[in-house]
Amino acid sequence: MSTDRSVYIAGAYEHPTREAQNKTQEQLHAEVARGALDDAGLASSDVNGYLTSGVPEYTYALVPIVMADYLGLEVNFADGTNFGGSSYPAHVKHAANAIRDGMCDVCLITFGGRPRSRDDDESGTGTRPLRILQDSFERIYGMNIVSMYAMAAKRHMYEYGTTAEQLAEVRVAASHHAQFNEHAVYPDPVSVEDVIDSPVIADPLHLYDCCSVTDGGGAVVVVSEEIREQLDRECVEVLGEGEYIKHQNGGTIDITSTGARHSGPAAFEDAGLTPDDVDYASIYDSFTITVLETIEDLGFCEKGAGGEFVEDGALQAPDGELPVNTDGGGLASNHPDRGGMLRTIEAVRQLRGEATEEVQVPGAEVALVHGTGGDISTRHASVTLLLGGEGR
Amino acid sequence: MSWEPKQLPDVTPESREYWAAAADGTLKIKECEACGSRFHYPRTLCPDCLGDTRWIETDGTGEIYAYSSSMRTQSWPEEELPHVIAYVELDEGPKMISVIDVNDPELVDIGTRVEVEFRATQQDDVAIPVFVPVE
Repeated sequence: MSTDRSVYIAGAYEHPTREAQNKTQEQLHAEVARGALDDAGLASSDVNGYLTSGVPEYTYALVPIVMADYLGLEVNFADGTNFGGSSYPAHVKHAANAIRDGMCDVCLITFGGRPRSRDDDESGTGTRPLRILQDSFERIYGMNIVSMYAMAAKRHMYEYGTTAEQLAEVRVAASHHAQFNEHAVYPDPVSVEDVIDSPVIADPLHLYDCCSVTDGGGAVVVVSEEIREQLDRECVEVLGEGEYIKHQNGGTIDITSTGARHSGPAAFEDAGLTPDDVDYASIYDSFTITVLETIEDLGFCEKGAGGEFVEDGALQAPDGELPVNTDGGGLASNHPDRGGMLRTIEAVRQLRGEATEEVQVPGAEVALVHGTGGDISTRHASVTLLLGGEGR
Repeated sequence: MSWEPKQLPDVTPESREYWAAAADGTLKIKECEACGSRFHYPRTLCPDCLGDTRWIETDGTGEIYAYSSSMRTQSWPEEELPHVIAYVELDEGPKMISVIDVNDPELVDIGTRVEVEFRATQQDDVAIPVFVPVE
């Protein structure tokens, strides 16, 4: 197989649904698999590597086996790395490595989730089953994912003077972009005041600081140089990758920064690029604070200066200093439990010049994708990808 | 209102003494016999060096490193909101997640001095550590 180390994303597809009551989760995987393979001009019989990971209704370790069976895939390489929301950018990296090692040359990565339609067991009784050993020291107090990110926001405000208005700018940019996305779940533009006036969920985070809850999915196809040469489709090169697991470290954790401090520099070094080279960034936006801390940690500004950086439309395409999440992101377009796949897909659209016209970054040649899976106050996996367009 | 446990923790061979000490009115953490690292939540081997560890009693005091008042959540009864989730930095070193059990969230800030209290569960040998501001 491949001796050239160049690896490409040849196909990408985001499911248009935002509510899938009458579909199974497996069906969502199949529909996005077909979409991404069609986009690349490949057939399911061409696939010889498969990567996926579970979402809460389907989390056990057999997931790639179960889904390869369901999809009828014949593969020599599979990976079920479960980093929560950052699983899928990590899968791109792991697929690229497997292709470089000659294990396969067409890797399919699928993702589907349906939290909007799933029967939820969080009934207000505080008795959600304990799932991981740390839950006995954390979840039993009644905290949830919002309160965990809220603590990080609170501490960031305390140390760096970040304001609720600055966090709101992240949502304002997402909603500005979402108005041009026909599939976005929240397509209405919002102002800083709208965010501040929305109900407080966990102080200091408001409703509009929190990502949407949707059903949906997405898939990408990663291929070798030899396969790319046989395809008619414009491909996006995987230029660099980095990953890092940040955790409490026995109780010494600093929650004002994320694992992006490590995954970012690793990816930039791998690609031989710097933050100045990035034309567009897809940054996982579970909450507004996630984006703000990540921008700092990736080196787009000094630590603590993220609040100032995001003011005055810096994140808004096409003219902002760093256009971020031009589809509207998880905040305003789509967040089916996990965001990393959809962040990857929007970066591919930008580099192909296929983003929505109003938000297409002119001449975008280098895109960054960053995933944050888990929560920034306790433990998470940070994954950074750098992607390059064909015109580069 | 007072914070009341809604479910029992999983009591494991690694954590049994932690919960039992709480039921006896003491907050214990782990200390590494090899490198001296003090850490929370309890583990048998040290997360710094994988050395053997021992239990130590803390003073049960510290200060608030970060907090958030939950105003709306599916994971707690509505009539008991808001409740204040916090990271408490213990005087012995490690930060631990808990709740600050106050009627008025305005009494809580980063840097506020707090001390541990224990809330009983239906099991005699398990109590849950919470914190309250030091008077």
